[in-house]
Amino acid sequence: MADSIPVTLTINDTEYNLDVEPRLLLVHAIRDVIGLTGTHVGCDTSQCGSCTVLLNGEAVKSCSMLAVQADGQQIETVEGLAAADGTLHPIQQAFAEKHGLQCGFCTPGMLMLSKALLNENPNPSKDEIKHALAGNMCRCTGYQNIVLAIEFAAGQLSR
Amino acid sequence: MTTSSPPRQIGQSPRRKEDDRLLRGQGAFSDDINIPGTVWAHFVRSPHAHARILNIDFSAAMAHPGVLRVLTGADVHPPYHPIPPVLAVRDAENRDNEAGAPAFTLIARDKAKYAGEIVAIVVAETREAARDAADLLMVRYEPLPVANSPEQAMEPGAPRVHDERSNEQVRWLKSTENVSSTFEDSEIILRHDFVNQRIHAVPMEPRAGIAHWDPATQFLTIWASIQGAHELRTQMAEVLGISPDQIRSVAPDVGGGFGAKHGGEVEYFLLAIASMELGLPVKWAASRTEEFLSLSHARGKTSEFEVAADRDGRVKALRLRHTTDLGAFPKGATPIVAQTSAIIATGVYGIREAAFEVHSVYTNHTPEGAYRGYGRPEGINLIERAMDMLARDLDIDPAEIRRRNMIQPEEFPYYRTPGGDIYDSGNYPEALERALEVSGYEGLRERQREMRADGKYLGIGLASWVKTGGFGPSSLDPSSSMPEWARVKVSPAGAVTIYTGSSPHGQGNYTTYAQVAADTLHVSIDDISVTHGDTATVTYGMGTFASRNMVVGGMAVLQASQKILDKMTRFAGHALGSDPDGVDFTDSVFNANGSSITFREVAARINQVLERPPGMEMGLDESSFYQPTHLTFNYGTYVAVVEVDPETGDVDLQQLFCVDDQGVVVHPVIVEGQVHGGAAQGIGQALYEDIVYDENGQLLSGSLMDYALPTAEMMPEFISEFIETPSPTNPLGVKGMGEGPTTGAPPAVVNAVVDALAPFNVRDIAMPLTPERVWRAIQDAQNGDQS
Ligand code: FES
Ligand code: FES
Repeated sequence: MADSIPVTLTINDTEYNLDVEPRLLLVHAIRDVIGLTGTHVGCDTSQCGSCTVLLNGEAVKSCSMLAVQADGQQIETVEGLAAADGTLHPIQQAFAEKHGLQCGFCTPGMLMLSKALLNENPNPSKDEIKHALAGNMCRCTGYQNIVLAIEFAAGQLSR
Repeated sequence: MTTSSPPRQIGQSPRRKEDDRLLRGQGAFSDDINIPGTVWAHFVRSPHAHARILNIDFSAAMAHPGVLRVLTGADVHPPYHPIPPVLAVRDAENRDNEAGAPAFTLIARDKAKYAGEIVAIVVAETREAARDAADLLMVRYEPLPVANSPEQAMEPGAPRVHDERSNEQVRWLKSTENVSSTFEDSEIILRHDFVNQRIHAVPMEPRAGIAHWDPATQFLTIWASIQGAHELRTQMAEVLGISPDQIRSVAPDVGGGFGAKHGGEVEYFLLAIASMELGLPVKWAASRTEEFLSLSHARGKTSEFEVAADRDGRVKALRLRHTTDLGAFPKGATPIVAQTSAIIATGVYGIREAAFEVHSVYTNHTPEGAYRGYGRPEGINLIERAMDMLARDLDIDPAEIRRRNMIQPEEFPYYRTPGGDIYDSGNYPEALERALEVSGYEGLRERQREMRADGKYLGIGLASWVKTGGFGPSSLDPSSSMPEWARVKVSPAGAVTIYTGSSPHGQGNYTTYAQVAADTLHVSIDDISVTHGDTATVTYGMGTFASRNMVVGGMAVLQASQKILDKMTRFAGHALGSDPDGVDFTDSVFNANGSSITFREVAARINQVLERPPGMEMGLDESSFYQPTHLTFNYGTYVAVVEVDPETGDVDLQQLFCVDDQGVVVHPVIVEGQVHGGAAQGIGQALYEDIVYDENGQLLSGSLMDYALPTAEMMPEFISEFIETPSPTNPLGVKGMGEGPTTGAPPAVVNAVVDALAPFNVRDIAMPLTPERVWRAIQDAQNGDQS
């Protein structure tokens, strides 16, 4: 086992100083070391997107990078979406409004992906949304209501 | 007593009560649960489909830093027991159940029976140490010949999966009286062999669990990603040889199950055993690859199917030889899935004569288990594909041939099929006509003709289907009667808590059970909470499976709520100086003799000894079991619209119109979500998903890289409509519905693709309809090789 390496991760505006094994995945640093378990692990081949977080504002699959690669960077997870007073983010509200979740396991990844998408393209078409979801799998919803939720959130955010 | 209520909650679509936590990332899935001092298990699995285990050398693994224990078959069997068999089989006298079911062992002892079977467990202080040490374990195997398909496994001299018994677990025959003569007298006989490929449920949450045996109190707590905490507790007690009273079993948030998480899984028993051996909490979280290898598969069947009809397309009889691949062990009641699958093959049609021959066979594959539909998708697929073949042969429109054969509304309630199913209620022609209307069927046919003239291939596929719900009624084999339990309590401040023995994991019952109680008690669903999935708080429970949550679990909630209302009414009568019969309950207020008392006042004052009528106990806390008497049968007609590119074989599934009757719709938005999700899984089977083994029984599609789980771009537009014929079997009038869409979608999609390719004379394509298969089917048909 290689020696631990010190890393600093800023997650949802809180700074965490960790000593990690070089092989530790970012998702395991977030879940197991820091204890933010809203970010999920659904596969071992970078397919499912359950682990999606924002790294400096961009959606990344936190299972496909090492914690040490995120040293010094800004990370946002599902726990950071709601406002400080607890008000749900418009994207979260849209998922509730449009029944965009059933079991809720894929949901944190879907929400983070949606946030990155709408940052980049505030008014996406249905096809653009479906395309953006190519790396995020849901087994419960058939995606239709997820797409509707993202469209609805886009409308709310651009008001 | 009379009641009139505020606007009924049933039929409304309030926002789901379960969503808030999940949206904040505050769900508690099994892998999110951590207890101080937890150690990690890693399962070492056989790389061979069938092999003697000659030797396991774990000295190097034990020497690895952090390793606490290695357990092998020799440590587990004995003293611990195999998973007790469930083998409730209908028409038991026709069952050839030679030598009973084989022991469902937790871990391989002398030989491994499928690639992925556990041969050892390494427990270490960290997840990484357990995995690293597992790599140091030296297992010597002697590979054996493989039983790689049910057909091969039934041949004389085939390798035996279980040394002590033949591979065929169930051979079952059932026939009405005049099948042979009907076939002899029929002008038209259609015969076709179908393959229903093996697939995998793929709940997005891989299984995970944490078991904690406390040596001081001799008590086990287990959290596991399962569909029924109580069933796990029952099985756990038998496996461990302890009392169920020494076990608390918890199904926390569960990220999808779809049947595959129904019933205890070997890993959970082994976690408990490891915890008992070490006296420490032991945790495991499956990788996706482990899930493909070891979480039950489903649907693998081959079928020889024959129908006899007249020249008008009226089907008189069918014959079915249905063979199922059980895999290496009998998970739950899987050996009888093929029977339930066979008997539904008469579908929504008034076919009077039917003969079924069913074989359930062990192979060296991953065990099969339940998956959304439990055999019915395979059975319905046969008749729905055959209807289209017959329509083409006789030059009848696919809608018309269905119309001619459907069971008529006046034949309900309780239509008995030749297989012995009793369909509760419905209007099958109405669902068909409605589906034709919403899809604009005639217009689609017109467009199809125009597009063909332009060299484009539009396909329209119908499927009229029926699916059971509401397991398990007392009218079946008594061993399969399964009630559900609910408790409703009202606090002195008026808050309502529902405890349910069912175990929702995405179906939205936190909200819909609240709707049921709200309608009886006239409280806002905001004042109702729902507790489930924990044997410490829920006294009894069967769990979530077989489209039973609302039919059986919901009825128990209704009954317990009514008991609460009865008691409150008696109290109100006493308080208002009236007989209970003279009390009216309107808008949450009890009225009698010109005065009134509110629901909240009753909730508070029933705890005052001086206020209660003589003999009434304090408190509002009632429970109820609901035992269904009959199965319910939801049904519908689906219309799929595809465009196929014959150059590439690519299928563009554009729309799926879904008309469903699941009886009374409690929450239309949730039910529509179930239609989308269920249909999406059916589309996955029709077009994309496939569990593939190589000639050595090695799983080739063992990751999400190799198994084509549908993504958003693979999905059509779903258009969902309901018709409502209330079920006569229960006062809520509900039928259950989660599995119907998975049953209806595959034949609708396949029929659409085959319809698109009619100009090429393509008659059948085996699922999944990948571009390669579609393209080959076109080439073969052009070369005159009928599939
Ligand atoms: S866990 Fe599946 S993509 Fe990261
Ligand atoms: S809601 Fe269950 S996987 Fe998406």
